[in-house]
Amino acid sequence: MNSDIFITVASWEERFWLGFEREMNQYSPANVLMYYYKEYAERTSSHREKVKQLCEKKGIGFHPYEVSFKEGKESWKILYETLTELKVTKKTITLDITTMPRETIWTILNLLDERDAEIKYIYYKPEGYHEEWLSRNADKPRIVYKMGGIAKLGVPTKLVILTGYDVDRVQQLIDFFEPEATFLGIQTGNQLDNQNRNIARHQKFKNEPDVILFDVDAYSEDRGFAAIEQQISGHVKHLNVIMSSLGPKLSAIALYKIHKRYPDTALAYAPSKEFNPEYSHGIGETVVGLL
Amino acid sequence: MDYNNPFEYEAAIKLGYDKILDFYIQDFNYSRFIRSRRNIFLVGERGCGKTMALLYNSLPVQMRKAERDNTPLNLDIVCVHIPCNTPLTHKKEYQLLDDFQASVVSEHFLVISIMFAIADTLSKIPNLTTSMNESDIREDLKFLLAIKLPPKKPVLSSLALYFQKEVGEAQRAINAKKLDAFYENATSFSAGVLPLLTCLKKIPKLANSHFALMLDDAHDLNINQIRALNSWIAYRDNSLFSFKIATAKVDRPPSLTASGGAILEGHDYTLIDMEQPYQNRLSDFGKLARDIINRRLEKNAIMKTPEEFFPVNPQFEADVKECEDRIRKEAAQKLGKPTQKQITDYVYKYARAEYFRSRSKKANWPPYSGFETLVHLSTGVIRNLLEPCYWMYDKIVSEKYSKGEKDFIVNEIPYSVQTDIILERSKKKWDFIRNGLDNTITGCSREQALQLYNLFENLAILFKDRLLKHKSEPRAITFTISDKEFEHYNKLEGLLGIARKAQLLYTYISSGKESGKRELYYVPNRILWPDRGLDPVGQYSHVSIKARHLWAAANNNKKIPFSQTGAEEGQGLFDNEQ
Repeated sequence: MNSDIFITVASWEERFWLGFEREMNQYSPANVLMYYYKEYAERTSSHREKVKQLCEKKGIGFHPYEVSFKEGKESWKILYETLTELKVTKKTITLDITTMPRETIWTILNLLDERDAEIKYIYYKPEGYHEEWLSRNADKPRIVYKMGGIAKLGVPTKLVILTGYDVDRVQQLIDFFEPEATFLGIQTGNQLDNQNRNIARHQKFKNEPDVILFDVDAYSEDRGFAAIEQQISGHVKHLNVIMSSLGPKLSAIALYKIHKRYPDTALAYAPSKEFNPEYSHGIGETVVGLL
Repeated sequence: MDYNNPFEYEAAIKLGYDKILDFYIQDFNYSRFIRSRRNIFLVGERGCGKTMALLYNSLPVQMRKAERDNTPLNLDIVCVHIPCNTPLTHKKEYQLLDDFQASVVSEHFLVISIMFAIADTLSKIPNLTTSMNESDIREDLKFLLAIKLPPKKPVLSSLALYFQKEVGEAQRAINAKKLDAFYENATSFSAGVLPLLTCLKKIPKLANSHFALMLDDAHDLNINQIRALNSWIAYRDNSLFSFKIATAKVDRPPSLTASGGAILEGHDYTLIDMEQPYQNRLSDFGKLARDIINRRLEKNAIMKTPEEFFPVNPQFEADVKECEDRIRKEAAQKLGKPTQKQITDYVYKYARAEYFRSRSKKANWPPYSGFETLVHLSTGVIRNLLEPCYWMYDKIVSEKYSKGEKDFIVNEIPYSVQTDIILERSKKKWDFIRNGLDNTITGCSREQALQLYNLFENLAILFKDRLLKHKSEPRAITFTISDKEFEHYNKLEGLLGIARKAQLLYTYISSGKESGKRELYYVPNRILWPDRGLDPVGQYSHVSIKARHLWAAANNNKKIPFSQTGAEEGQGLFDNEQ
């Protein structure tokens, strides 16, 4: 037993439980903070119960907190209160980002920033995703609390979107922010049918006059940081830059780091109101990194 | 040779001053209102020309115009463009504060945005302050706004810089990782904008100016900002300033003021509906569409009329002509001794329907083409007019390039290309309804997306049945809704709201011919109809459909009742909208 902290967001996906079990077989933190979304409380209840039982069995402090997609303000306050209360000095905080919404990843990292702790993230790839759809019923995109950067007046906006399988949501973000130009970061590689479901589908933006496509690899060592930085570094001083990720979860780490290096940039989240109950299946490789 | 597509339909904000001047058609019904001292709301969905109208009148574009026309710049009305779809407006930290603090911070950001826009706009006027001592105005600003400006820069540029710095400081305070991060030095409209305008009036060249504060995309403001703005609108002394507010029709901001009152149309502001139903070539939109295309052709040195540039398929023209002759004869037989007007009306009602009725069932899609068809397909929205034209032009240029041709002139869009693009755009629109609604339209669930697909499918079936079989008004493609007491009317209304947001449906208010009652008319986007072989050229009539039938069509995929003689509803069917 050590005094470290493990933070996760409960999910109905197999990889959530399998990953948690896999991790707890390797080490035992002092406390597990498990946030779960009210809207999916029923769907995640059996996994949450399993997590609770495993924590009890292993003598790990188990702290469940309910948050909500709809009640962003209240959820931010819950994250704020639970994370600022944490005594973290000289500890390792492990963030399981596998099934954590990007907005939650960014908020947690932002609230833990400058704390004297080592922050580690962990991500479990699935064996595969549902073949037809992952999420739908798009909600209004929103700038993440406290991470909206410093917006300048009277200058155009550049939008950076790291694309995923939901091609329509790219259009939704463009329509919403109406940027002067959009940089679309397309995940490279053939993993998880990426070629057909991501690369091929986003080629339709190639001929759009104000859209610039670039390659990014969230599975690389830097999670795509350098490729994204190359697109924005020349603009940050004079323009507004908004960044959003619809792609691999690990790309959220790169965007967070970009935001920290360029604090004038804004992070935006594109929520969905509906996620596929069969979003993914199985569990694949584990990716671990330090912030 | 580089080919500039004359039908560029990008957001006006991206066009640049010269293109705005080149493309804007000034003689809109609403143009005169923008340069008035009244508060104006310009209401309409994306692409109907709101931003273009505001930008055209904005001071920098008017300066460029004066320069091009070699005329003095008129500063009687100084129009300041204030975009609201900005990263600053989208910041949400105010939500973490209590109501009072939230309203203070929200107002501060809006007020600083307005003040920045005023200073930044005026700083572009050369020699604005040359006839005066700038230190006087610096003194006034220091006294009235407690602003100390950097001494070396011109006063207006310094002022813009100051507001830029101010907005940065406020954001840094609000971004602090605290529950109640607030900005203590927030200002308000009365403590900020009003004294600023008073100071600026001391500049001799602005002594008689009226400031038109043009807020674009005001639907993006937060609720506190809307309420504050409405309170300023309710301030009825418009001698110094007025507001011109462009906003979407659906999700239009509420009329409530910060003090709980409400602003009233006619009393506090004039409302201009920017979506204009297209009736015929002589209607307002018909004239506007012609002027727009003419201007675009002219600016690209294409000396053709819109009809010459977008010719009609001659076979189609001949076939329609044949139908007209046939129907004219039929009119003479059926109507006894008809007057010329009766014959004209009869031909107007039935000739085009006859064309669609007499087509072989095995025939391909009708050869949609011609300028007038394009105007009808636009459903009265400028962007909808330009978009297919853009892709038609683009197709010609791409084909020429792929054949290795380099120097060529595009003097017309062949009718076959027009047909291809119209059908392609129509199919795309249906694909969008089928696949994209719940992923792109905020607040649209999968269930609603499916309901909307069913609804439009069933409207297409109804309009097709009418086109082929209806005895009186075969080409009605506009509808009204009766039976609003229906228990699921709210759900239906929500669904129609999503369709409007997605620009699949437009609305306008008009008076029924017989009842004289003001009624809401629904016009499905006409680009949908070519894919279903329908006639996008409607007629002056509408179909009155019961709410329960529309709901059944959407929710249970049930056909909307149709009878050949009349009346799906037995009432109102023959009410003309004119």
